[in-house]
Amino acid sequence: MNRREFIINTTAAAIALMSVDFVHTQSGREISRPIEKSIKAHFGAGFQLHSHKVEQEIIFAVVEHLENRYLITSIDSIEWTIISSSIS
Amino acid sequence: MPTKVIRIRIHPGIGIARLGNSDEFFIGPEAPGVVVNPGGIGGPGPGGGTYRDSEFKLKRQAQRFRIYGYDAQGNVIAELNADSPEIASINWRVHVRNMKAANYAFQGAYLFNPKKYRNPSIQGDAMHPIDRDRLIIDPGPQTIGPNTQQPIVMAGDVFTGITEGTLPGYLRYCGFTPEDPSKPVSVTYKPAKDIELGQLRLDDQQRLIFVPAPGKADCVTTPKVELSNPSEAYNPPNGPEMGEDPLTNQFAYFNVPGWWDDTCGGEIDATITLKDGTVLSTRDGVAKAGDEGTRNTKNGGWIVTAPPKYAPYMYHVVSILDRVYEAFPKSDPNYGLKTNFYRDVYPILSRACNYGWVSAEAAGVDPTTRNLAHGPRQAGNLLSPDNLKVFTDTGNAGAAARKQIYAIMRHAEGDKLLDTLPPAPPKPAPAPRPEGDGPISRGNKMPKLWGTGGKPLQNQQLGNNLPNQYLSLTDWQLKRMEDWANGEFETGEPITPKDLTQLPIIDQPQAMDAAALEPTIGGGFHPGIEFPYLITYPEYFAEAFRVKEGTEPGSVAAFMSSPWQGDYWSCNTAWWPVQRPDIVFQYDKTTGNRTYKEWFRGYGPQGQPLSSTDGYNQMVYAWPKLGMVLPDQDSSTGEFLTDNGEVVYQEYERDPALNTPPKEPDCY
Repeated sequence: MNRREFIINTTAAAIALMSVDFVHTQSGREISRPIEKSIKAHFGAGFQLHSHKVEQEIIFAVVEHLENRYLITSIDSIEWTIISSSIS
Repeated sequence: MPTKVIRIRIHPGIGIARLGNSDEFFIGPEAPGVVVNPGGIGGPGPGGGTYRDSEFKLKRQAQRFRIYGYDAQGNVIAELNADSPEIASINWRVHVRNMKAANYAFQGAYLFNPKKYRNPSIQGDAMHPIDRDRLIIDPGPQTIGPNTQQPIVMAGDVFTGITEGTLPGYLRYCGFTPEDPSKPVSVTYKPAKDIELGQLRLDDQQRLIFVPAPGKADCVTTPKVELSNPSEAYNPPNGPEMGEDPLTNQFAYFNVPGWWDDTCGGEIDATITLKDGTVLSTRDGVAKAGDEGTRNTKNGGWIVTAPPKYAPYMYHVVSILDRVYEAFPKSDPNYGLKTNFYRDVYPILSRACNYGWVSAEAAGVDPTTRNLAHGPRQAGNLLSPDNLKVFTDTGNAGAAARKQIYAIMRHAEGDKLLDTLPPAPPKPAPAPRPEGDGPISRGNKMPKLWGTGGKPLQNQQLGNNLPNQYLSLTDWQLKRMEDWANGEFETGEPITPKDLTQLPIIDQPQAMDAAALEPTIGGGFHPGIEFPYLITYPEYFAEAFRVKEGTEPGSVAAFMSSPWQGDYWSCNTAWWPVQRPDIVFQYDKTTGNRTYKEWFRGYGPQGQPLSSTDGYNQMVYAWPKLGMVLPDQDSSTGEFLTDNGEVVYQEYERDPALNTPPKEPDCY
């Protein structure tokens, strides 16, 4: 397992335990334009960055599209991984 | 065998080839239901094929044309090709054109106005589009025969003999913003030269392979015009001048001045010389190979080139094939036969479910359809084992369910779409504009896709109450559904598609005709993406699958968007997602959970994310890089992964170049 996979996998478990409320508390922060741009390029421009935070060089974000929400993460602001989704 | 042949005909009667920016190509389907291997190894396509070449360029989809011999009674006797011992030579004649820049402006099928041309300042006083020769890409008739060693490239020029002019200031220009949009902008023109519309090749048996163009498109003016919808920025919703100018109103992106694309349409003919000197031709008045003769529309074929189909396994619920059967019911080989569930009904149900992998509404991830649509675990999964058990039961057990499904199917306003359309162009639409019985009442019916009348929201904005703003099945499809609902059907067996070579010779011509048109869009026509709405008019047919006499090469395809990319981008919601997906899914095999992204995503030509609200111009750059939607296959068995009866579709072969901004930003 390389460093990138290690970070993604270990943080996935942690993020899965996060409550939605935890993510919501970040929504008051100023939106990062480069992160927003990267997310729109990765998922589609209709996806809105709802909130985000950077922790230990890992970016966590909540995005929304058609009232569906994804919790996503990235270590380079280029590739994004969906950790959890409101779509069942 | 050929001694009994008195007539030859080309099949398919109407062929389809699809653009690709690769020099490589594969031959499209030649039998119904067959998804062809695009070649290559280790890929996600059928047989391990890949839709992209080693440089990740999108392969072109070619159309092969075959010649069949008929006897005096009209029975097909044989395919005639270089392997036929009596044949000395086969010579093919092809004449295609691109007439888009010269054609009438598109303003909706119900609003056609022959007084409104595209590029109106150039030969704008001509009586007919065909007279506007400066705006027509015409390689002229081309021939290919046994002595031709190299492919014949069909190319021509456009915007010739024009040096300068003015265009509306409301348009968007590359690197230039008018100070006062209400004033015209002076532009210069530079003719576009040697635009390739396609290539002619022969296979080993000297059948014709029509290879389409590489999908180039460009603007010839300086400054260049960008594809846009000016009515969104100026005096919305109608646009400047109360929406009267098709260059700047809500339909502007169908009629962009100064632009050309390399799609085309036109005639395919052949002449066979037998070893005893007998000459058989699809054209009349041909005494020897090389004679020009005159076109016989019932024998000759027709080609149309179109944008790619990014979900090749999925078919639209109404195809051009269905429209042909609607216009010519007896041309359906199953005409008069008892309704058969697996042959007549199952395709409609399975196509509906397939939308659930490329459309937000059909997938049930849209708020308006959440958990009510065609996703694997949703109420509208018509393919679940439980549902299929009920649907295939000819008794009363499934009667209520069958009737319920039939009851939610939409019927066209008028018995057929054609019944409400204005007279066939170029006859003008009557005034006042035709009115329907209101789109709102039909919005809760199926299919939940837009129709030839245009999107309801757009019509609402423009104050139009046009009929058929939603798609309806054809009358013939609805009859089959009604039979099924009433229990007047047999179940039959699931149909396994057969390759052309597995079919008896008598079935091959029909198979060729059907296979070319089955993977196409038969509505909504706004204006259409392979064929425009003209295909619904009997006035444009000589008979089923044959374009009528007097139809100029290029004149039918000219009714579609100029260039096609603007329309292809704008149809990003509930138009024809099996051709250009709206969304694509990722599927978790462990949990069965699905997540989705927009299909049109990545970085555009100027380094900005591809837009979901204004991507007209970006599509010119992005189209050959976008992903294919294909069934998820078991790597060992090749079987498709299914979830509750539905095939699982995911995105493959998306060009990674879209993941980063281009190194040299440009307008397109």
